[in-house]
Amino acid sequence: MIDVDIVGQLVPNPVTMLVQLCSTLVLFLLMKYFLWGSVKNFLGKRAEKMQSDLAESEQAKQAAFSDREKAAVQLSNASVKSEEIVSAAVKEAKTEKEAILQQAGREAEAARRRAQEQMAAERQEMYQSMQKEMVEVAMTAAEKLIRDKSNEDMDREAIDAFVKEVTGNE
Amino acid sequence: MNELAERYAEAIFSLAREKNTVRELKEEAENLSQVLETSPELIGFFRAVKITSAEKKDLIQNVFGPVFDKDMVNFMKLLIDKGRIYSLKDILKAIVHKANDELGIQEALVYSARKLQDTDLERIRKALETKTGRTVVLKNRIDESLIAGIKVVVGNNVTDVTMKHKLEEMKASLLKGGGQA
Repeated sequence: MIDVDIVGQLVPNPVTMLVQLCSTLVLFLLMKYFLWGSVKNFLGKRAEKMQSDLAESEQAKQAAFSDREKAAVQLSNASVKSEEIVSAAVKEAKTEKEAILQQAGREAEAARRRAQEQMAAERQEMYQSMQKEMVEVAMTAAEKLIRDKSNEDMDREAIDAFVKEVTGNE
Repeated sequence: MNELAERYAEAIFSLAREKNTVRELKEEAENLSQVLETSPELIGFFRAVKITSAEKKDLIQNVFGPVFDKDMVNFMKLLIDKGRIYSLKDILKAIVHKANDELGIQEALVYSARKLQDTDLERIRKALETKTGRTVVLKNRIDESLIAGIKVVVGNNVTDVTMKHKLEEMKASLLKGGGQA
């Protein structure tokens, strides 16, 4: 069986405990003397930096909010403007389209009129050519017929007409 | 009528008027014109540069001397000397024209497809005399293209009563699209 002094183990030795308390106290005093100021200073600076960072962060946040609002306004303005531009462009395109359509219509009408005039002219020319040819043939036939039947009586009729015209006598 | 021919014609015409031989001068001018028409080689002879003026004048004297008045013969010789013989035809026309004016004669031409009878020519002549108040000398020229009828030319006036003219009028009317013939 193992012989363990449980009470001895559980209750500290007062001397040891006193020495330890003293050493702890000395250690505490030493630390306070040598480290407390710099630690406090370090912590103060750190606190200031954190405070400064927080303020900058807040400012940045505010600036971001402001920029976001401005961007939203600009976006809204841009949207309105773009709508206006698109609307104007559509309107202009419609006007242009109307003008182009009207111009095309006028040109088509002019081309149609020219074609009709040309057709009419060609038809007239063909008609005149046919008419001339028919008249030529008719006149040639008439001349031949008259020449075959011409005689002195026809000359005398002409003389009568001439004398009547010149003298005015019946 | 060119001015040169007029000047030469006026010269010999004035001489004839002084001598009261305008009618004779006219007849000689007409006869000489006819000779030149029927003998064109005579003009060639007068224009030939290899033939001397003396030879040309000899020919004039020998051919025309016996039949023409000496004034006309001398006039032709003068034209040879002056180098104006090439204008002889125009000069003769001018002489006839002046003589006709002087004698109150109006020349007229009547064109027909056939030769007209004398009675018909006489009717035309009398009608023209009535109209112009001058003595009309009428000549009949044949032009078969006229088909029938007559065309009378008096100076610058033309009266066309031919079938050819009527057909041309009818043709023009038909081509113009008119219904009137």
